Amino acid sequence: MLGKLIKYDFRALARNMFPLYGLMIALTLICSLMIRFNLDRGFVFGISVFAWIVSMSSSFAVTVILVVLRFYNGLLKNEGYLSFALPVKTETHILAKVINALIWAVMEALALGICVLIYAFTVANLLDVMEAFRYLFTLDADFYLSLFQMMLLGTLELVCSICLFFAALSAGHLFDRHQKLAAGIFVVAMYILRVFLFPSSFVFEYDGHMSFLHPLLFVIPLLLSGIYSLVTWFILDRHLNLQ
Amino acid sequence: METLVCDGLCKYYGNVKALDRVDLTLEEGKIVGLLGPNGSGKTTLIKLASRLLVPSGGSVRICGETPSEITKAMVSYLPDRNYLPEYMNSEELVGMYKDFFADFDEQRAYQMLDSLSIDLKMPLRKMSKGTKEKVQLILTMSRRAKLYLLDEPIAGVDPAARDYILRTIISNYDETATVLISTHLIADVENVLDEAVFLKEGKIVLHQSVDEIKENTGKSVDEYFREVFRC
Repeated sequence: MLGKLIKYDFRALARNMFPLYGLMIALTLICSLMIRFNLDRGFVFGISVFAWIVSMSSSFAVTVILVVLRFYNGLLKNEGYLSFALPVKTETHILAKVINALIWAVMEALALGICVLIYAFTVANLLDVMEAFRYLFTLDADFYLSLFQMMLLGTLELVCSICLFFAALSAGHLFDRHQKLAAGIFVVAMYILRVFLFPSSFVFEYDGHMSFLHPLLFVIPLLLSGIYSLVTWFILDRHLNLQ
Repeated sequence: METLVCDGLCKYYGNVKALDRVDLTLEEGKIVGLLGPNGSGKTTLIKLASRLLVPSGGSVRICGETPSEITKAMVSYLPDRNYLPEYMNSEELVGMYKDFFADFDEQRAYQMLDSLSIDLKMPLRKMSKGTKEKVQLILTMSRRAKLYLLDEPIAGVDPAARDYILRTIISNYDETATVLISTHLIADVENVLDEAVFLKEGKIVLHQSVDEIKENTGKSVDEYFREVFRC
């Protein structure tokens, strides 16, 4: 059932995500070509670059927003009547949503990667690009280890943020009125609580090997993701309030 | 065999009692009307059986099981609203129901969609309200479920469509299944009912067979309902 849930959630999100990524890639291509052929002046170029920068810089936030909205519409609004009528456990619903968030984070990274490559191959000298790739292969293992850790940390933080939104929306749904407002208050309160309980200052006091990030940096988002998911499960499974 | 058993079932919304110690047993093979005015607790009772709500007290059991993913595989539920994804078309919805429900009869669904000349490729958002309701009912009734919970299946459609919907219900449910139809349009459904349950302010005030009601009161169910619920 998990695979089926992921499939239908993926399709639902793809309706909005693919056009968004398509737009981002198209704008990259247009701007890159304008730069390549020295058309990088005037109003049209200005507008194109502005739209390009906005689409690139907001694409991550838009991805998170759409994933969170999918959770809200799929489980807590009218579609929830269908979702919760399916012979599926509540935890499977939550897991499917989290996995979908991860899938779309990867898609987002791929789309950004394609944009970078388009820009590099269109604007820069081909030899320079090849040189840059060659340089990447000369870097030592520490660099790649750090890169891997940063990617892992980014993924964990993304999952943690998504789980926080899921928990806040579910908690907001316990109220009979002003559910979105309540969810917003829960989001802010939960972020403040996180900063208060887990200040990041310990990271700077860490005297381990520079190539390794502080282990707590990985443990905290994992732990919090578990707690938020448990809260979401408890509300959706034991206090579901679809009205 | 008992399909649905409610034992002292209660549901409160804050201080408001939506259901108050409801005891109800429905046997298999019956079409039962859950009848009551607006706000009497019909939808709440159906949602509790579908596990969209959690009881404040008492219990509900379906084929001996507490509502869970196990009972959801046995219950075909039609909510009182548009609950299907609006961007999907009928063909995709049939595929989705087939994916999730082992008892879904794809062929039966396509036959009904064809008989109503519903465009399989048209997204729900482009359909009229009545057509959407027909698609929802077709999907619900294409399952070979043990219990059908139909919440106001005829409320939003014209009289001709009502006849179609009722015919669909009668001709598609399994003889061993139970159908619970919630409505306040009693005259329209009366002829298809085996039993009627009157719900008033969250309490069951009557649960009898339609024949018994007619025999005991000398009135139709609709006439008797109007008498009981006179304002």
